[in-house]
Amino acid sequence: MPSSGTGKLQYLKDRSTNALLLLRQGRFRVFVDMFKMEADLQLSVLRQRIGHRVNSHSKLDSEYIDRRKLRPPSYKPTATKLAADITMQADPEEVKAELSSILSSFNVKKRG
Amino acid sequence: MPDTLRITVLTVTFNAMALLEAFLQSLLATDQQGIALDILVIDNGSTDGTVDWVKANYPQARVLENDENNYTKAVNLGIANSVGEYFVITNNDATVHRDWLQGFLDAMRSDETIGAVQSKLYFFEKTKINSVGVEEIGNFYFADIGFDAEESSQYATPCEREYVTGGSVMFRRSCLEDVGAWDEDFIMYMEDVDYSARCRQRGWKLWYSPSSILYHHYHGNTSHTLCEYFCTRNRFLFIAKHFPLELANSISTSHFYQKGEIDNLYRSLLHAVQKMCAHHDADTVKRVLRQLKERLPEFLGDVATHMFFSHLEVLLGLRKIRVGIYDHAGHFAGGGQRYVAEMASIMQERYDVGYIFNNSVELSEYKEWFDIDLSRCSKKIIKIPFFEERNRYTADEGMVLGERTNPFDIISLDTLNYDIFVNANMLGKLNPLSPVSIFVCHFPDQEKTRFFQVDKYDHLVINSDYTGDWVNRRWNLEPTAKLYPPVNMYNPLSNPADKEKLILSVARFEISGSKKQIEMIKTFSEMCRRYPDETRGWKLLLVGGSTPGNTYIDEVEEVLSGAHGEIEYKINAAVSEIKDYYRRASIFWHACGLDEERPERVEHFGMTTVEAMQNYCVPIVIDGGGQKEIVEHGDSGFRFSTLNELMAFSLTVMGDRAQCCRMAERAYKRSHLFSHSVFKEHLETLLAEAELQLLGHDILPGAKPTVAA
Repeated sequence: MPSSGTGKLQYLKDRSTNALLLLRQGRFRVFVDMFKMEADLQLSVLRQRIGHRVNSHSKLDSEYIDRRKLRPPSYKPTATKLAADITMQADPEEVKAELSSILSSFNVKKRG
Repeated sequence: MPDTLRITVLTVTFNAMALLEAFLQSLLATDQQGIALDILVIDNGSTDGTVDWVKANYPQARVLENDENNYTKAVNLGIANSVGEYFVITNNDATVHRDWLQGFLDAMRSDETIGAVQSKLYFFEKTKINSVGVEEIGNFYFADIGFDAEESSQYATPCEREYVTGGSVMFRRSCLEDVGAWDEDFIMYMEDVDYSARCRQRGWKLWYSPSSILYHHYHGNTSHTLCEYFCTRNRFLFIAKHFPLELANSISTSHFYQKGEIDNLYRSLLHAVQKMCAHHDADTVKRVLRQLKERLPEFLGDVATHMFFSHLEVLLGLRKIRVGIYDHAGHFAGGGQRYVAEMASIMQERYDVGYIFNNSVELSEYKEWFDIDLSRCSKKIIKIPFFEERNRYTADEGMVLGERTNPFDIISLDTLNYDIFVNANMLGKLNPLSPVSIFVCHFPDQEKTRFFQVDKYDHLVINSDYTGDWVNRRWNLEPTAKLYPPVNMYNPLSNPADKEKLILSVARFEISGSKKQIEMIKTFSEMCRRYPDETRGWKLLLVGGSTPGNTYIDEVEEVLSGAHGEIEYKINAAVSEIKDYYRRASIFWHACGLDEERPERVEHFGMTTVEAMQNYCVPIVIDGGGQKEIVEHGDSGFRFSTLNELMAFSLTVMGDRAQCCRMAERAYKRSHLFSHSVFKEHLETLLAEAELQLLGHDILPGAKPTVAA
């Protein structure tokens, strides 16, 4: 979740816009699914915050990471093939350093 | 301007033969005054006979075959093969008005800076408008202007547009040459929006001409779900190319996210970032990556966000693929360790391979144990506190039952450091967090209990169909790949015509007696007692490993003391000795699994049987477990269910030298199925699939393996 108040406001705005859009389009089923997802997400955030895990199967729990291989894959009409390497306009060394810095800033390892 | 304008009209087809006739007839009926019309049909791999039908019925049209079902690639192929000053792209699930071409030209002639002109598109019923241009409707979603509207004067005037549809559009050749090729990563949908943006960036105007009219069967030959998928996917590509700083903000409004299709969201974002790196400088890329670092956890969670950035490194080609192999029993020299070491030795050729152990072991020991060089692999040791606290040398997942948290999470976290994670020794409670994961199952020893995670792996590799069957029964899972253990005991000195009267068994002397040496001794003894003539000169040799203090050896010796015939056993023979026994032996016996009810006590594969076959021994083996897959009964050996059958089949082979030779030849040939080269070939296939998952780009199925004509 966003750490700043602005981020939270933006998040709320995005969610509301989506909900209204779905309702206007008459896509109630998607709306209900999204509502459930959002409720799950907020509950898990709350659980983390108060240090309590209702389902403590794993310390690594997160909706996507834990369920990604268990759910049937979403509709995707494409297959895959290996493509030639792209030519980067961005300096690869700079991108590499940035990614490295981002990865080292994660604290997921401390939770194991 | 020349007197006659050359115009190439391109239409791209895919299984749309039923629609083409009306389209082509209407095209030929257009007013072509002052125009030399060149009709180009590019087929994307139709299977409905479109190509032959067009060639037979419309000889005035040129037909080219695209080698891939990729609309945008077909457009580029069309441009490369076009001849005119103007180039028209049009749908073929449509008919065109007589003034369709002249309507384009009227607009083009009005202003040299007009690069493209879009028609007025009606729905086929001709009462409502389909499109008079394209506009953004918010959040980088685009829609046709005038869509589903009644005819109105507001659509009767030519005017400039920000975006034009590729459904019916004429381009000035100089514009196409200036802007360059269409972006084939889009495949279909929104490629026109992207090209429109690029035209405008280069200073070309985009125009709408109401006098060029087309009647369109809306989504005549594509489905709505296909359209929505590509529009949602390509929206990220579009943003990454043209508005990269909006990428992070655009996630929450993505239809993938709104529909809960997080797998599609993850994947399309990865490719969007890749696209951004190809089009923008490092400063922009860095800003966007930092924005994504802040925003992505909202949608994916911390762990998957970490995986996303690590995945990006390898997708962008910034490092080699990292493979992690975890073996909680890697400090033992067992068959499972050898199997995975063979995998590692192949993988280290092109990946960074790292072993994860729980206990101290040197990879150089694998060279000593199995003669497998793993010098290019690295290793790390991660202790698991749960087992350390209990003074357990090996991590036994059976001990983990009522714990609140999973003790193997510490290993799970480390799997985040790899692109492909291989769980080498069936530790079923380990959750893989790498983008691609492989679970190697030698046999499903454990039932599904708390913390069961095997269903979270992408690939479930089995060593035999027997194992696969039990994976299915016990875990209700379908294996995805079968890799028979590689066997390499070929000896150039082995010759089916040069064999001794020797029956060989090679199996460990297990304390439990599961390899059934005593039963084999008793059978041979009985054969010699009952059939002294047939067994004269024959010998039974039992070879196998043992540990000091093995009480089963005492039992073997006791049985041997009262046995008939020549019987010998050898403990812990050197490999060179075993090779020589294989060379000399005519017959090979394998009885592990006899009268066993527990499936794990039956040989899951049976490497020694294959070793014997590679040396022209006739295998006579138990009709169970993996042996059934190795030996074809009556052809490349025999399979028995009782000791009487073992006796009978053995006497058959012993009594007919010629048959013995023929069967040995067939056994030898059969053994190639389990050779190292076959193992390597199947592993390469598995790894190719893993690489596709990791690095693959989308294609539409239906690609033809032919080169464009």
